[in-house]
Amino acid sequence: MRWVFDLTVLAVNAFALRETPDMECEEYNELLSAYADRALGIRKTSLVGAHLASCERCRQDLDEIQSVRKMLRALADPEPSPEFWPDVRLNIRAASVSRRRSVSRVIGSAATWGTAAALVMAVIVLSAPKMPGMGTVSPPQTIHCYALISLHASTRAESPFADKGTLLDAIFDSHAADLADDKAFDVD
Amino acid sequence: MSTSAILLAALISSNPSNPAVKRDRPPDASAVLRRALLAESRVPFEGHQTIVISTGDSTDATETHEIILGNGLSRTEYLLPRSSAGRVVTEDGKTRWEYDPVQSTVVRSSLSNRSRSTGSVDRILALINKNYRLRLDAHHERGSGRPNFSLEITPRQNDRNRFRWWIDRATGHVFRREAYDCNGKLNWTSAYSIINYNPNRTTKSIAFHPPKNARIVAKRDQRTLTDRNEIQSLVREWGQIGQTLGRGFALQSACQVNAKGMPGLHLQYSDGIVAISLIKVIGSAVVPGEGQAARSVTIGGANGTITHESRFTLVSWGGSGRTLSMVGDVPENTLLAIARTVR
Repeated sequence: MRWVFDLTVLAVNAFALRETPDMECEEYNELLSAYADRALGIRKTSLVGAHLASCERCRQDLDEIQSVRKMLRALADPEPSPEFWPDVRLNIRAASVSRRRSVSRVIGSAATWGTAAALVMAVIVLSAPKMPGMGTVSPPQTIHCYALISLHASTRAESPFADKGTLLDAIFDSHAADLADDKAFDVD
Repeated sequence: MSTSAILLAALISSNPSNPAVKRDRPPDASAVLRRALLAESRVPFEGHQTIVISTGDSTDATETHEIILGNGLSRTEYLLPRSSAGRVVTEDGKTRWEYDPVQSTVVRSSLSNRSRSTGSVDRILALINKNYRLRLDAHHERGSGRPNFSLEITPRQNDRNRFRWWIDRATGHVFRREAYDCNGKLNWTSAYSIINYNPNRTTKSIAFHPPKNARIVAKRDQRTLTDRNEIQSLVREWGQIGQTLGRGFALQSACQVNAKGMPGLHLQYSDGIVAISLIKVIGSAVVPGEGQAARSVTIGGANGTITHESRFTLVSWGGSGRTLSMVGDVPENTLLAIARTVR
């Protein structure tokens, strides 16, 4: 099938030569490695082929590249170290998890309005003033109402006209609740 | 009686510097209130305080024996109800000791040094005058058996309690208080009886000695910020802190707290007489009601509960990973209306 490829190259070459862009020799020279690997597209392959026909220096460089490749192919494959394949597997797994997450995020956001709403909420939360501990999700804690009243009363008791009697009573009641409840409120 | 004697008597009675005449003319209500404010916790006395709180269908009464020596030295012992009898609270100016014989526990806490300067007294007075109308009546030997003033403190908006205080004329001590709700119903009273303004007590006589085998629990020091600049320093961590709750409630203090491992901020606002606490906790929490059953409410689209305990109303609601609570001795409707303005 090589003749099919060569024929195609000739045809494209003829087409490309009609309107050859003004490329310098150095630019063709940089494409020689990819040309040797047949990694260029048809148009560029044709252009490089046409240039090689007229450029002795680039032909020599191409011969050099191809001879080095032949030498490398002749060498025996080195044995990898014992850690090599486990490392590769770990890297592949990590990469695939990360990719799955990003893919599911993209698919989810496009698929459901709920996720879209969640994203909007996330944007709102992130744009709100940053507060300590924000974003940490934990199950709801039970705070005894006496603890809240005690917090109110203990601060209020030191204020003017506080009417200490009932405030201290509230504080007392809360202590029993606090102690039974592993101290609902601590003051930092 | 001769004509000259009658003229002399008339002159004496018209002389404004005559103390007897001054006693009959009540001074300015704000001046009396200012004196009471400065006298509070400075006037030494010993007496029984009876507090009666009407909550719905029930009435709770508490009786205590109090010794106040001034300069932050005080001792309060509970006599009634029987469930509270034997509780003792002692303050030595720096530390508060609270002993509960039922729990056999002593709770020790530091008292913050919140000195009452004339400047702070004037700020409180300005707040009271902004939110309440004051009316003063003078009485001779009524109530306590000593000359006293009766001060009517009426809210400018009928959305909170109206108060009537009796103030001892010689000392400025407020020896009786009554609070009426928006409909004029008596909510609670606090009255001192068997008052002795010259208690023959020494500091040693009120010192607290923890009973043997009592468990002593030390509460962490409460660092309550009252300075406006200090409070503003919290903005970096907590976002904007409202200087007012509306309806005349101005920010008085801020304190960072910890609720079961969740960081929290306790802000206290006051209208000069009544205080409201706003407690923000970062994290999800539920506050079940005690006593009377809690009722569900909606605040700013978030679900919440409202409950009453003693004379306090407590509302709690949450959302977006935070829980907010408000506590105050104000009617339910007022607290809910204020809560709905909190962002």
